[in-house]
Amino acid sequence: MKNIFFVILVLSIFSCERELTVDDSNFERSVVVNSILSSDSLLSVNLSYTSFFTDTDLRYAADSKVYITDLVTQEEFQLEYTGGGDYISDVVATKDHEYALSVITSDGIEMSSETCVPEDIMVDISIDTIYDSESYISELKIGVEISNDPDADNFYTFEVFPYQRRVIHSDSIKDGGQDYQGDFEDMESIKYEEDINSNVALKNLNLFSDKGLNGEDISTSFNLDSSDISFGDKDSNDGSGSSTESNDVIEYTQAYAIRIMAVSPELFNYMESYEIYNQQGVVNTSNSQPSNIAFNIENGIGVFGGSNIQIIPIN
Amino acid sequence: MRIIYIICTTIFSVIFTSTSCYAQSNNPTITIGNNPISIGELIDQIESNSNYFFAFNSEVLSGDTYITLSENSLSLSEIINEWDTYYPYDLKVDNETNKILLNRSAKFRITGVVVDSFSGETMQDVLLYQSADNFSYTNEDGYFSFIIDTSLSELVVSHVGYEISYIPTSNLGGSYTTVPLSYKESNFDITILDTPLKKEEFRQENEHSQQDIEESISISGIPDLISYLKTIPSVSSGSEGQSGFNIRGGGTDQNLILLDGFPLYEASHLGGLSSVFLTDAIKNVEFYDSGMPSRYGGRLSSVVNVRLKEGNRNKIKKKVSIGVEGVQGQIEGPLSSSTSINITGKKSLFSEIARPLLKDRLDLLEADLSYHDLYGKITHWFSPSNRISITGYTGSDRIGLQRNLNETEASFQDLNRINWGNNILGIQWNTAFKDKFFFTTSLGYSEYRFRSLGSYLINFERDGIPENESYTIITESQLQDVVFSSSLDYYHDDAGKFRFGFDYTDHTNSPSIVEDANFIDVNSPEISVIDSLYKTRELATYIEHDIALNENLTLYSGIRYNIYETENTFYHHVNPRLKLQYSSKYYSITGSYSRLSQFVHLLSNPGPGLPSDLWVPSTDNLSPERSSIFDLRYRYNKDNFDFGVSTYYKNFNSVIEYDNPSDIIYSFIINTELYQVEVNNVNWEERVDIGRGEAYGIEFNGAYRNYSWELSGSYTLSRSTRSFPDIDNGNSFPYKFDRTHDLSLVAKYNITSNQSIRFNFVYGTGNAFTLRDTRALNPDGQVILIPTERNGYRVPDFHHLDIIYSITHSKDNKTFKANIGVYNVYNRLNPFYLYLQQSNNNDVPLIKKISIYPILPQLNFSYSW
Repeated sequence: MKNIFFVILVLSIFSCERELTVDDSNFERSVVVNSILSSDSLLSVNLSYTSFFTDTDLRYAADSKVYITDLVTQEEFQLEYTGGGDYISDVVATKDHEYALSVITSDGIEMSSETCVPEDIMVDISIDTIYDSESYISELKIGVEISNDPDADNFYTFEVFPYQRRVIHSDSIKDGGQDYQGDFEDMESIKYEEDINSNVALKNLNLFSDKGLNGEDISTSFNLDSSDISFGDKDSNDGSGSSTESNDVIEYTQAYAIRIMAVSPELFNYMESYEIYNQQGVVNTSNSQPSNIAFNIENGIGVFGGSNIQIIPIN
Repeated sequence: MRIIYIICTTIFSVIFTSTSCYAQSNNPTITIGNNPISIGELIDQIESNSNYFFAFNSEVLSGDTYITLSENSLSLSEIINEWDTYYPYDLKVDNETNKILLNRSAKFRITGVVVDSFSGETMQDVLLYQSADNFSYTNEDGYFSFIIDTSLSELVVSHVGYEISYIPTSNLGGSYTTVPLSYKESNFDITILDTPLKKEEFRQENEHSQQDIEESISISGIPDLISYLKTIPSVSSGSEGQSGFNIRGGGTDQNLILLDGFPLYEASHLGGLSSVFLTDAIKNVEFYDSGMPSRYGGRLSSVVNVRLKEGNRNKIKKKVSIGVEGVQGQIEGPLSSSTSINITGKKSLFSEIARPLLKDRLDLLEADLSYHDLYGKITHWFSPSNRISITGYTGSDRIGLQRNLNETEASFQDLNRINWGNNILGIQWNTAFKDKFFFTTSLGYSEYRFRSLGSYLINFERDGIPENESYTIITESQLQDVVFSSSLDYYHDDAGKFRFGFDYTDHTNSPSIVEDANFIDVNSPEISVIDSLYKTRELATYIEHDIALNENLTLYSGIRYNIYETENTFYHHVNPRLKLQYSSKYYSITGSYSRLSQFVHLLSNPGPGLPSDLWVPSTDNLSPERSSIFDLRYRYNKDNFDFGVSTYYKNFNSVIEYDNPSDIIYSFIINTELYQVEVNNVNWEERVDIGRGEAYGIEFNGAYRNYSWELSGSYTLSRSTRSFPDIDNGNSFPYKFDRTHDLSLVAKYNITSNQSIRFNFVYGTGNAFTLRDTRALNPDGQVILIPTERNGYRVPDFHHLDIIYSITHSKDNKTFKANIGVYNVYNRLNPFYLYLQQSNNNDVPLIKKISIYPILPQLNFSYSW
């Protein structure tokens, strides 16, 4: 739809552009409930209020009662308000359990939702490397094989993201510095490597499911070329370098990892619609409908979903 | 196919049965010397050349007793048949005694056509009137079959805008009558026909002549059909830059647009700048917003059947015109005594005017904004009652823009091409036979094609390393229809007029969208990306029945049975139609009910409303759309006043709406590798919601005319909603084209007999739209903008005033006409569309309104000879 931009531009040669104001007198604030459960983080819920699109004053919903119930064990957990709209419990979600969310705001609005935390992913990753004429890596073919519950629809996201691999030339293993990210803390395979700046998202988020596969295992592949990621020394931005810490010699090198995540159907729907929302950007005009974002909060908006993340470095 | 077979069998059975009634065992050929021949002489000829003799009263031979036979040499049975059928005589043949009993009859049937005396064109819906309970109308091909009451002295033949023809009953008779009517040239002739001839006014509500259309001027200053239709209360006055038109809360794809009976899928050029119809080529237009006859089907909201001129049968006429929009030319005339031709074409000059401006302002290498239309029709008359026509149309729009920008940081290449257009080729044959039958059959091919290509390439440097980014998206759609239809009109002596017929359409749809990572250079050959194909078939059979129940009450009824076949599914839809009209001296009251089905739908992309049409069919999973229309209207017409009020209720079932409109684009994409969201096993059909809709409203219209002024206006108060289970929790929401208020006012002042000035004002409530009016946080803590409700906001109201001055100068059959005017006199900046402008998530978004038609000149000059 990028061509439409240009047509708009051409038409605008004959056009006039004016700014309009919109009456907000009928606008009513709603409560936004967001919570993504996973087996490696505490139960948490964020409550905020919507505002009119011209109003940047975001308000958080304090003094609400927030409960999450484990529908397998029937345990109910009340989450405590910690500020910034966040309600947190000291409990971690359990894989393959279903959960119910219940929220009652201070002004009596009741909201609810249900989701699940998916079970572990049985995944097998294979990587084929293709070199160019100068013997640099020009393309990676990443094969993904997932064995999953044949009786259920399963939903996944797949993403390749960069990080700075730290190689410590020392016999002793040290904890990382301030940039150390939790994702890698438990990963024995990369014990000597640290994630720096892992929040850089590549454009290779893929959402896929086995809906329509009649329970068969998923077998798919993704191609990444030099426009997607940088390979080796050809890219001066690969972050290679070295420094010393105490007596150790530390080297940094550009590296990539695969983040594969089993997600609940609700979270999948949200992520899929959010990607389209991002794609649509400002193209939306009054002559078309804006993309919808899939929420699953009854009597409110927001997402209550579950995820189970697995991170695999590309070696 | 079985149904086609049954229908054909039925039709030919009727023909065969009626023919066999005239078989005679003793049937000599009689050759007459004179033709016309007197009754007495004919009796002598028959008696001397056969074993038959006549028995008659001497009164039979009194008065004007000449008859005209179709040929000088005919069999006895043929002579008896023509004599009995077309003249006020009853003949009874007794084969036992060889006696022919001859009597005067009180009634006899005449058949024929009514034609325009100047051009020889046949005329539709002409009233033939003898008394309040003995009247009839010509059909779409000008044909009539009428029972003359010999006790009445004359037959009145009348059509709005034409001189009335009074034909003495004694002059009528013969196998086929051609009745010429003369057009009233003077605009100042405001003679109002007195009842009962006013029946024609009420009957002809659905028919619009070329002269009517010429009164309405488009933005570009030329007479335009769609501009004319928008003056009708049920037709929304539209909005800026809008293609097509909306009828009573329906979508633009819900209008059945026919060109000589063949479907046309896109009727607008360049976002509504003008329509594809050239007024010079049009003979008349049938328009129905309710009470559709059964012969029409396949759309939910309206029928616009445009009939092309057959071409002047008497003399060659030529016309050229030039204006802001472009050049237009027409030539029509006789190729021989029995063949005529009409060729009309238009070529826009818009591109030539705009190109320098575009190139200069936008640094374009190439800029092409052009369109053209070409109509052709050739008609051959084998006999006055038997003719064949070939209709052809081709038209297309082109938008082509190419740009190369070289900035210090990057170079940018951009190529955009959008092409769309229609092609139609059809052949139609119709013939009258046996004085009560009129048969029409046609075979045609209609094609709509659309293709858009957007491609860009950016070369830039990142940290000293050259990089580039390129992207291409191609949308391509073709819709091909092969149409075969036949109908048979049957004029019963007592039970009114019947029509039996069928339409068979073979649809081929191929909507496709492809993304690619490569830039497509301007010199690259065009590659078709179509790889999806839907083949569907549509068959409809119908029966219509028109009957005058008494002198005031006329019933139009019918039923249409549709079969629609997709890959694995048959859909069966029964569409009853009913219309009851009470017409008296000065007023009429009409009530109607129509049920309709629609089998193809238009997908519009989420762009700013430029035509980007993907026509998709109903499928195994997507049932056809249906609607019911209830309509009640009152019309008063006396002297110089005309007033009407209509109220309607309309419901829609199985209408489709995309639950996530931009998402639908991606479900069409064949090459998904580039796109970040992999759409697994998803078909576009699964991306639509199926819901309901309703529309209701009241419409007023009035007109007043005197020597100097012609005033008319219409106002509509209406509401149109949709509801879908998965949108807005199933709550109904305003339809995009819901138009609460719609006002149209026209004032024409005749300065002299050949000069006039016309004021045209339209006002309409702004279209409904969905605004991302709500700021919220997503799970990542980022601000997102989401809509609260579907179509909860309105774009600013649409209104403009146009003034146009017209002058006509005629001399020696040469006519010069000029239209000089101003569109949007007070420079109202009507919204083409609104959009949210936001540079990053934390900014306060702004709503911007884009307008494309400020105050504009209207110029058009034409010369005909």
